[in-house]
Amino acid sequence: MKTLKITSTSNLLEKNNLWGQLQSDYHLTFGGFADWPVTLQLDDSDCLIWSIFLRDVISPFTDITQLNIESAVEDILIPLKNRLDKTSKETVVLYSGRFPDALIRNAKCSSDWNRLATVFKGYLNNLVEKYSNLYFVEIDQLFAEKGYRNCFDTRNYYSTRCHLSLAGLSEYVLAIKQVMGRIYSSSRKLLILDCDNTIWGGVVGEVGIKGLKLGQDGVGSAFFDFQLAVNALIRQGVLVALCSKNNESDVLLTFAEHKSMALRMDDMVTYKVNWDEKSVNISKIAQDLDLGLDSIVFWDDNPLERAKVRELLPKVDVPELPDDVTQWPELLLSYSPFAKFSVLPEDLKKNQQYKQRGQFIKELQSEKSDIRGFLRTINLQPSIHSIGIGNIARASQLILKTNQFNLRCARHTFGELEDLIKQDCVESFLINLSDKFGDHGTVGLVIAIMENERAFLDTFLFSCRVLGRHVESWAVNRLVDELKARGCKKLYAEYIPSPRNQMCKSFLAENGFNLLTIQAQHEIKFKKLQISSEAQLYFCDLDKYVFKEAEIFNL
Amino acid sequence: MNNLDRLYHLLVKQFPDVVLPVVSENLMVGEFVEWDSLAHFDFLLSVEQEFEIRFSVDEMAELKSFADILDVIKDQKKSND
Repeated sequence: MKTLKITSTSNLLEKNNLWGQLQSDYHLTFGGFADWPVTLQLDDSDCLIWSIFLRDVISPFTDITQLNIESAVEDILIPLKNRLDKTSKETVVLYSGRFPDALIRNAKCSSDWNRLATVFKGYLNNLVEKYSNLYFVEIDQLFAEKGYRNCFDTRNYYSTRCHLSLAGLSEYVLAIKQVMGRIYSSSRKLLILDCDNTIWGGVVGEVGIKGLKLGQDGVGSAFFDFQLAVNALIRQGVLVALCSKNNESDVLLTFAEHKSMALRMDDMVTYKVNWDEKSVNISKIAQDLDLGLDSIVFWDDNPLERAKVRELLPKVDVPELPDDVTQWPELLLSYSPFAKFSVLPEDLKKNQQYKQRGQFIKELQSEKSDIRGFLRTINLQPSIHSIGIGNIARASQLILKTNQFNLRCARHTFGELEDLIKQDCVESFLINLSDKFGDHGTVGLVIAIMENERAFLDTFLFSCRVLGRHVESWAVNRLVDELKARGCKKLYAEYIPSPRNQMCKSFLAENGFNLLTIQAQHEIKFKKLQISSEAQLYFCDLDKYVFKEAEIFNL
Repeated sequence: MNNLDRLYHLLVKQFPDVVLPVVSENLMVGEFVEWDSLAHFDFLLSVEQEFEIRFSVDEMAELKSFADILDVIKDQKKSND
């Protein structure tokens, strides 16, 4: 379990049961609220949360007009800056700058307090851009939604220096859960949508296309905006598929002919429109796309369908939806399981890439007898790229998201990854691929750590989008070349079994590595690494290595 | 459940790992080491939630025992127990 420390500028009722929700997933401790400056600079938990209420560090009751705002803010941020310069561990700033004021005071020019808060946020945003391990979360947004008066309690403040009510504390804990959840695991990748009364009002099989409520005033415009929200998610790299109990032709016709459809069939990565059980269809979609059920969100207006999927496929996220469809557009757009810290240019191409994969599989299946021959004809062009500012985010994404073709599933955080690739003794690169079916972008990541003549394969993973083309074997060959050029003679690699990575069980054995006996494993010691006990350790003599798939790549 | 039992139940929920003394109106903050003033504040918040009442800032500081709390509950709810 990761260690998580919370240091706050005021009381957060650390003994309250509400914190139990975090204690089950993290080893959680609190710093005393007088010593947040010290804790910020000295703490070395895996992740430190600095909870700051601006009014704790500058009192709204004092004369702010005499304050030099910029230097006051700089002073407050000194401990944080010192921390960021020293450590690459994750740091989350949970910030509230709100202070109640008469509306009138800001109507002609920003009040002193507002200007202070604005400067503070400006400085923090600059820090966030500069330090990749810093996250800035403005919790006032959450308090505003739930009601500032519900979330804050002056009685609690004057009793025990806690700004929040129990309701507010509950929101606070949930916010932390969400942010931490995203730091340590990836967002969901696929939205599976029902059709009737989900993306349009009415049952198309009963009322026909003209009878549907979509795009007009009233509830039709809510469905239209819901479709726009789906499009917004697609632009952020979320895949979308349909799962509807309907005649396929009715649905296809509606997409093609209804004048107010904002969704296009071309944007659906796949669809299952039939009369089978939805849980069966969802499982098939997951298989077709090679995605785990835990990457899926299922959105359906029918409570019974939702309940059935929740029961049969517990790993699929099935939000309990309000009956009031007018709430859906905003709900979908702000839905946390899809939210990411940043959207990369790569994400925009996901849809196309998954459809290209569908094409590849179709052609591959018709060539069952001579797969190698087939692969030779598709003009595979893999390439390696060193990891730098332009692509490190993508590398980090791969590390966190890749489950199946991943030899060790070493989940380095962004900060850890940055540190790793900086070192001279580390050989690392991303692998890009294009072929007859298109440019697949970045598809794999290799990190090896060298020590004299030996190297250890820390990370070897590939996106499941391009499996079946032996690019992973090509990557081993490439790594061997790079290591040999740097004087390396021996390469050790580990396979650590995990729930989802059975597919690479025999990869090392099939690609020039030999399994070491238990005794031999004990003799191998790499200084900074912990070679796990469930793992299988393999060895490759680089001088004897031969690339068996050379002809597929016309090498 | 009468109010005394409900208070006791809240105490059980707050301190799941502690072997509590027998239920009594005299139970108060400091009864055992885990029930310190910080935990007591949390306890009073849970009483507010359970009984749908609201303590003043003075009451948050002054209410120490189950008996004290039960008096305030009776006043605010005008109930029978």
